[in-house]
Amino acid sequence: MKVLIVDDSAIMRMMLKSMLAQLDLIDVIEAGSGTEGIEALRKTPVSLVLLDLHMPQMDGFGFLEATRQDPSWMQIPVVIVSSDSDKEQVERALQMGARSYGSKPFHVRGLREALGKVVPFLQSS
Amino acid sequence: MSETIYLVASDSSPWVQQLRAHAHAKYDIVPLPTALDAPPERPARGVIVYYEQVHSSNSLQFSRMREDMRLVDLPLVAVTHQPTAASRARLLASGAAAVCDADAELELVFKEIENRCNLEPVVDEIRKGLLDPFVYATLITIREMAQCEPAVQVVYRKTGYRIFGDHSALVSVSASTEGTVVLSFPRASSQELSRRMLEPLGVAVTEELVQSCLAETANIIVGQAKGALAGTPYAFAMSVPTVIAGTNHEVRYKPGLPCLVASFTSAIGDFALQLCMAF
Repeated sequence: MKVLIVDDSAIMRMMLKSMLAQLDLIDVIEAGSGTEGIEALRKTPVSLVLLDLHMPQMDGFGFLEATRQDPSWMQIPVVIVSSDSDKEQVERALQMGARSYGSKPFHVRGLREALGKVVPFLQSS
Repeated sequence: MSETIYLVASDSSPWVQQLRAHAHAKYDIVPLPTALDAPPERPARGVIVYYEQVHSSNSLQFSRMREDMRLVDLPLVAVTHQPTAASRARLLASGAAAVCDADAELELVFKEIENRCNLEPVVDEIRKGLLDPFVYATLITIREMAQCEPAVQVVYRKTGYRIFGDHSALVSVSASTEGTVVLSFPRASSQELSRRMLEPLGVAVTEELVQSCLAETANIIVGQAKGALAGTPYAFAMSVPTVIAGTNHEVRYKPGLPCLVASFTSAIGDFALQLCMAF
């Protein structure tokens, strides 16, 4: 299962990658902005996207808007991983098509909970 | 209730006895060691550092005290007997806010402290309604990121617009006006925070990664506070963080905006959160 992490923070991408490895999700590609995320999707098919909301250039909402309208990408589940725990932002992201939401800071357990809703094998483990 | 003035001096000195007698009722004179492990815990008006005579070694000692207390931003007033132009210059260069003559009227020393103190207490309503969500977010985030239990040291409102740090992460916020949230670290604290974040990933600390660690930490703190304050009169929108690096840099704010400061102590060292926005 290939996972795309879209987050402008290098350290957060490293931390997420490390946590994904602990969940046996080791096939990971990274992007530092929404624009880079779209580029990555064009080059490599992925099964799951972890998406930050606040990023320069194209933010998480821009990424969601672009990918949810594209038939080839609209089925890819997107899980928001953001520090912004503002309910309005969470609801907006879910309405725009994100499947789940995890609020930073979190550890593997929190990530597993956020991913459990969209990755079946993590629900039972 | 009398306000606190910290005193660094030998307690047996006649001048100190005189100071205590004179301060009675107005100020609580609290002794401080010269070598501080951390900034003092009680909010105060300032620090009096008394020397019978100024020696060349006093300058180094003085600059260390200034360094220890930079996140608290208290004025350090040096007092000595008949200071020469050279000793006055040395102490001012080491960070003294003023140098007073111990043989002059004691009232002048208190006046110097009062004139140079730019700290005020934070009123309860602002503390609970606005600052505490940021403080709580900071405690949670540092605990998670650095695996330690930070504690709040001092909370104050400042009327001056600067604080010293070696690394500062800034997040612009917009509410009724534009404002800034700043997380400031002395170099040792930012290095240790980064080390603790990077070690589990098997990654060595570099200056670039220190900045990334600080930016993300500030981003999470402000994001958490944003969620807690949503729907309140203090709700705000936030930008992506930027980091300023440089020994003892100063962060200045838009004049006129009040600035709330919470300084923290923890196993990673001291650090401070500044919240500069209209409220």
